[in-house]
Amino acid sequence: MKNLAVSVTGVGAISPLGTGMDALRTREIASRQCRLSPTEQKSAGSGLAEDLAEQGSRATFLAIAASRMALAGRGDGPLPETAGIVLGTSLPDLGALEQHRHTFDSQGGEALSPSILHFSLPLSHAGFAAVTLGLSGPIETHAEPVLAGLSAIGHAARAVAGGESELLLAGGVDSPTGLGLARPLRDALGIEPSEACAILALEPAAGTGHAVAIEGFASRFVGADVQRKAALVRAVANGDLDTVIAPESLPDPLPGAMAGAAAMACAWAALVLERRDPPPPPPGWARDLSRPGEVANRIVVFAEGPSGFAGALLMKAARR
Amino acid sequence: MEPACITGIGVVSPLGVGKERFWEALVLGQSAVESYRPEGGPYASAVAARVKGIETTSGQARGSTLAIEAARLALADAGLGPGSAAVRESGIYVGEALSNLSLWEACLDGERGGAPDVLATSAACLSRAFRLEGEAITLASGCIGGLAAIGRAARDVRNGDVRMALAGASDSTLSPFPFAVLCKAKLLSTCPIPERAGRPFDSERDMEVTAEGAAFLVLESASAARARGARRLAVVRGFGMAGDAYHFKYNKPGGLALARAARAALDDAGLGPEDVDLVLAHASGFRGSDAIEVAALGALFAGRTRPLPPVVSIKGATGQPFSAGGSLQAAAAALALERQIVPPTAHFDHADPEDPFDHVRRAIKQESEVALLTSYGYGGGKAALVITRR
Repeated sequence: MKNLAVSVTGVGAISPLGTGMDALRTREIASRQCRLSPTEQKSAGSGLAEDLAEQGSRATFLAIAASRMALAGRGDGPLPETAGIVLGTSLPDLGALEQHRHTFDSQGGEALSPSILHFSLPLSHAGFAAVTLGLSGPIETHAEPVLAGLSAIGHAARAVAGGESELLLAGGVDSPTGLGLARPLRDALGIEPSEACAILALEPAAGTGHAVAIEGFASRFVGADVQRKAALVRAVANGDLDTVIAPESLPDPLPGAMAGAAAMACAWAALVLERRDPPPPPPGWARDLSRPGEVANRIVVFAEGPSGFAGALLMKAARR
Repeated sequence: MEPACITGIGVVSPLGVGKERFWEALVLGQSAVESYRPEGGPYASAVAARVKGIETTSGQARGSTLAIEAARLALADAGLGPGSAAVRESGIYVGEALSNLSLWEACLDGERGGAPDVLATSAACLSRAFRLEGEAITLASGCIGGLAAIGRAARDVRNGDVRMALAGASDSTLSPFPFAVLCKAKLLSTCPIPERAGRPFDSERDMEVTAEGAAFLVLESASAARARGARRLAVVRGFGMAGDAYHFKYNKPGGLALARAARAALDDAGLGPEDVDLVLAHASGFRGSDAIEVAALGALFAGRTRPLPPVVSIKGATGQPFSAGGSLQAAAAALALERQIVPPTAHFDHADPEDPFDHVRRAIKQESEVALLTSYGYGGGKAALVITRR
């Protein structure tokens, strides 16, 4: 595994807990949907030639709004030419596709909207975020269910470390609530669907002076085997390890946000490392890998998908 | 850093199944575009390019069935047994743009019912089929997903994150609902005559022809390939991406973002525009985008002292199979370098007077060491890959 040296220079997070990093401490959750006001939703889609504000999916708005938060610390200066976005998402806008399909069945192809492909595909979120935010570097969408939120960040870190980009927005989003598919998802994942989006701004570590760094990433098949999961975590930790954070470490209903939850676990790890908060408890199988009660310096974020593939990302408190 | 060698090629294309049938038809300038009139019509388009002779496995999206067959061919071409330890450790990098539309559709219909199917990407199906346990990535980046999957796999092989990877893409849109969606989006050729539909670079082109297909490459580090005595068919040297932050659907006139992606890929390979012997272009016969791609390549090669390289599109022959287009381009490039033949652009008859490139009407013999591949699509992303003979 190649050693990475990438700084986390900004974090954007939106979930049913609220908006921004401090919302992650909230414990009063009234809904499984994000608290994004109609004004915030409209503002996320503003400035576009497309009819995004009317037709864009919620996940697209969440991705744009969280990306803006992740960039907020940079001020208004121009972004580097190689600035881009790598986003993980598990599902297309199934609610919209279901409606379009109903239209097709009842009224035929001519009645379809010409913009279905703009707004219903997994790539819509990264694509519109790039157009809205003026990103002229890589645009990439990872789609391995759940894992995508973590692997987008891991692969973005590899791209930044390899010199491909000077700034990548990387994270995950899913908005599978309120669909006929809620039950199949519940059966497949054993969790109640919810929505969330988290985006990290990643830059080369040299000279940024930021508090949190990404140092390693790997993914592989682990199935349901606890030993394999632990081996993947140990391989990425490469020695010292304080704790493991996974979507299951997050308070309910966040684990139901699939790729959004995997990225949110990374945002949470960044918060823990930056503020020196005690970390949340790791999932059951990872307890013997963690040293509870100590201030965390090295956290592995672990996420696994329904197909048995898992990823692990090493995040570290950097010297300021 | 070790180069990422191509040691196996698996092709499932409308031109034929298997790399030899694909290559033979490509070199002869044949096209697989034919009449297509699915249920629920009439539709604005009446042509498509289909893969023949492969039945969709029950409970699978068609794209996944095509992917598994292409991957099986790639492993066989590399001389790898499906159950071997090397294959088990292999990473799987898959691009898919629209393929899963039919899977989601089936889930909505409740035809296949079983909940895990909702989440069964091609990567998951491939890992199950070949017991792959290394890295698994599904890139739903649209049309560029095919080139990007190969580019990402090559990077990870070069960096030592994986020793071997199966990388490619698969897409299938040939069922009524996706076809209706593509027609309504005004992406498809309305020319009803198959011989005249889907004409990359031709001054009389209208739009693209939808298609299905899959292609996978086996990529190995040079040392891994050497250790097991594998043939090196070609080498993936560089990858680059860029966006034009302009429009979700249309390319920005001038094509500077695509030129930047190409320069990034050449930089990554340690090469420059001067070194390119052959371009395998994205061009799908799309009225505006083909001209923008020509402009992008014009900008890239401005100031070049050698004659301009031939710029070929295989989509006149295969149609536009979305993300699989990029992996088919990569298969074609590797074969073109291995056999030192430049295949023609099928359906290309009328040169645009402003277009400085030779788009090749008949296959030509040419000594080529370096091929540049380009790709772009919905979402504004542009990608480029550099493949070399050695």
